[in-house]
Amino acid sequence: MLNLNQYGKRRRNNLTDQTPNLNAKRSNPPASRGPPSGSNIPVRRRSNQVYQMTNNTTSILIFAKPFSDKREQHIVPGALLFTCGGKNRMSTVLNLPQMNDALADSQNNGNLPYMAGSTQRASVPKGAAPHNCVTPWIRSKYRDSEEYYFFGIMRNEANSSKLQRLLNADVYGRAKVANIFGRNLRRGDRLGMILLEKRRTKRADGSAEEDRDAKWQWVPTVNGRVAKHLLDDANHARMVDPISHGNVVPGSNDIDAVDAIGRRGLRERMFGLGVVSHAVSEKPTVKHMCQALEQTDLMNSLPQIEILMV
Amino acid sequence: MCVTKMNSKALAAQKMVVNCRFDQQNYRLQQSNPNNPMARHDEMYDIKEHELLLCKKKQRSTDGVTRVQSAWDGPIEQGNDNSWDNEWHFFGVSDNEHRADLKYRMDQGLAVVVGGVAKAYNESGKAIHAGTYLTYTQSTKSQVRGIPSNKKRFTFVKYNPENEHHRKRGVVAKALNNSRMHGSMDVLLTPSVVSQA
Repeated sequence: MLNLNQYGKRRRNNLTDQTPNLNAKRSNPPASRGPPSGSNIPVRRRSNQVYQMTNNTTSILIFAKPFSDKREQHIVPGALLFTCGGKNRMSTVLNLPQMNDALADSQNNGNLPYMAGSTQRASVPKGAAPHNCVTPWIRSKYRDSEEYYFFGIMRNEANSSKLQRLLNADVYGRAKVANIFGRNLRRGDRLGMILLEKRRTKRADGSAEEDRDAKWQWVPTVNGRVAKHLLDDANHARMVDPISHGNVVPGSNDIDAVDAIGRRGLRERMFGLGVVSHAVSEKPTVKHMCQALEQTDLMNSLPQIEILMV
Repeated sequence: MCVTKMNSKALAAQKMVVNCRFDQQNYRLQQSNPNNPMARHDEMYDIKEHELLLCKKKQRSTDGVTRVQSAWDGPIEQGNDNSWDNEWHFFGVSDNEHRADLKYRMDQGLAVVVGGVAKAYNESGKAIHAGTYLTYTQSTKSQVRGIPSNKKRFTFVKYNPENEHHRKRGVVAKALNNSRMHGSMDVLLTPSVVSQA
């Protein structure tokens, strides 16, 4: 007959042996014959902890300053957040298409485009500088612009208000991000962004881009290289400068050109996002991923992948 | 003088903490230097919470535990001379206090945050904004309670790629909120976002 406790469970010391102890009179315990068996080590089979203490996410709150055209309302979960700090707790927060817009505007010599359906020009007064790029000569081009840094990936909204948004941004650990990186991602791929020259056709709000010159833009990288779909499909991606100033023909990921500016020079233009941990979601089309770098609506409609931010 | 404005509490977030030891050998060397005006003040070498800790690149220890310290007497940046950077590098942010002395203890209990989110004070002389890349340098003058104002300790400073010393040290952290001078801030310690020279 089983010896049950008040919960109807067997006692721990009965897990290994149901027979009475025949050596009860022995005074000394037997010598150890190896690692202790399960009877002496308490094993927690039940716990109130509903998740493992691994890959935890660190989320930081950030106040997003409102824009006159309400562009901050277009930031949704899974968006890459770029911030420019202010004098108080509020920061100017942009998603990737808006950031690429601001970078293009700052190269237009102050000729900012009109907002869609409005007679007002977009409100990027000083232009934006991509300060995650630490190459000195690129930084010097943006000397008078406001400094934008990559901050994190939006998780959710902590408090909604008409005046400002309080965003919860993942900066470390597990996060979900819109898939602009490719159709064939594998677990363990290292994702990042790199600043390269690229032509634009659309603005973040979906209107047509007037200036078709090549502009510095943030584009995705996988394992330290420009995402494959941007190089393979030159018609959609419009990459002028995959690696450096015209040294490489679009459509090739020429390793010689990488050597021309040096591995260090390439790294200085990049920042890392994290490592792919789960990428079995629906595969987006190449056109969708390419256009999502410019248009907010397309970025927000991309399927998401799970990454581990490190 | 202490800071009168309210500082934020340390953020309860994931961090990687390791045990290390106070650099008693270097502490003794600095104290035995007759030209060092701070040598008699033990308090200058105490490690306080949220202080930046540095360690020598070449250390001789039999136990394999890193020796760290939070203060350095004298300037660390002299023109283009990189000799100091060749010998020292960033280790982490202290998670608890340690009193400087020469007495040997088996377990000092000095814990250092080497990865993840930590709290630190902005003594760089300028405001630091969210997302900014950070490296380290000597602080100007501390206003944190319990820290001697003339202690030569270290602080996070905005990374400037045109500064040769900054390039040598590399990016060691990222700011996570806007912080005024002498205010506290949360930082994300990263294993060198941009590689060192």
